[in-house]
Amino acid sequence: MASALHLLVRLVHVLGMAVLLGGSVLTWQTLRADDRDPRPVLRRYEWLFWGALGVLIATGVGNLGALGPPGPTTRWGSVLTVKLLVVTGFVVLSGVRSLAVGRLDDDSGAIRAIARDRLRILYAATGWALGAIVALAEVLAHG
Amino acid sequence: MGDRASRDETESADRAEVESADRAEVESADPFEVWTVATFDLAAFSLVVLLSGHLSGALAGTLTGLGTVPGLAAFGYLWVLVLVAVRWVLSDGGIAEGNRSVGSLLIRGSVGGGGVGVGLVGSGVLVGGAVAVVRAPGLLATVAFVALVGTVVGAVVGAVAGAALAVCNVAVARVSERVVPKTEPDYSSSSSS
Repeated sequence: MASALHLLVRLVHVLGMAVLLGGSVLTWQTLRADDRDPRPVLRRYEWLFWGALGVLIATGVGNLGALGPPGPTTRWGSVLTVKLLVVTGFVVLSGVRSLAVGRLDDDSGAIRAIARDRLRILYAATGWALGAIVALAEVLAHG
Repeated sequence: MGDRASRDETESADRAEVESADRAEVESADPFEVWTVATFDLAAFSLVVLLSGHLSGALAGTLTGLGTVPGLAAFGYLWVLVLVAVRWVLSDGGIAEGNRSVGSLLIRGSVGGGGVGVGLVGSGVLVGGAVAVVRAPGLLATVAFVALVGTVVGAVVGAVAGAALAVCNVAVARVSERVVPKTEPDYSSSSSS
């Protein structure tokens, strides 16, 4: 029963990351396309993003509890420290990005070129940061 | 004379309607901003607690003692509390520059954080205390004392965390305004990267 529950928690954790990573690539691609207003896609992603992030943190702590967190001085513990620091930086980056998307509603007409450029960079950074977090998670799980 | 009185009444009613609409606009927080800021605060707070616990070596003992289902339920409950608190904090105006003073946001952030602390610790202690009292009615005075102290500590910790998170929210909002600034209308799209 306990192992089935932990399996479910891990499944939800992996699916949550899939939503974040897949969505960031999709929104980045949407911003690269010049022929349509990206705001509905950006806003939908941001709504999903924060929901999935909350679920990821909850299930991440669940995973940690199931595996048994190591001491901070072990190699595993050091990787965990790095992962937590990277995730904290990623959350700050995401706050900046989401609040910028939220302000786009005030603009009338098409999205401004400078906003599109900067947001495209932010979404690309989001995707790369998520890639780094997945790599750290893989090291924690198998390394 | 009658026309003038009637015109005054109409103007007064119009003014009241406009004031009421303005008040309604100010008092309703933007759901997107509430969702973003609340979950950002929850994530930042959780990560700081996790990192501190991990670096101090206290995380292992704490997580081992907390089961998966109660842990997830507590996290969900905390999420709801933070959403309600942030909705209240932002109902007085958003966090964008010029919407309101930073001082007002700090005060509301502290009060909101205190409320979350009381809600989380207070209800946790009450539920645990109720179970203890049912099993051993003689513990009532002890449970009441622990509930009181726990609620006060929760309120203080929550208020400090709320103020710190309000500062973080303002900083992130200001960086966001600089990174993606409002500019003069330019309807052209740029080339892809």
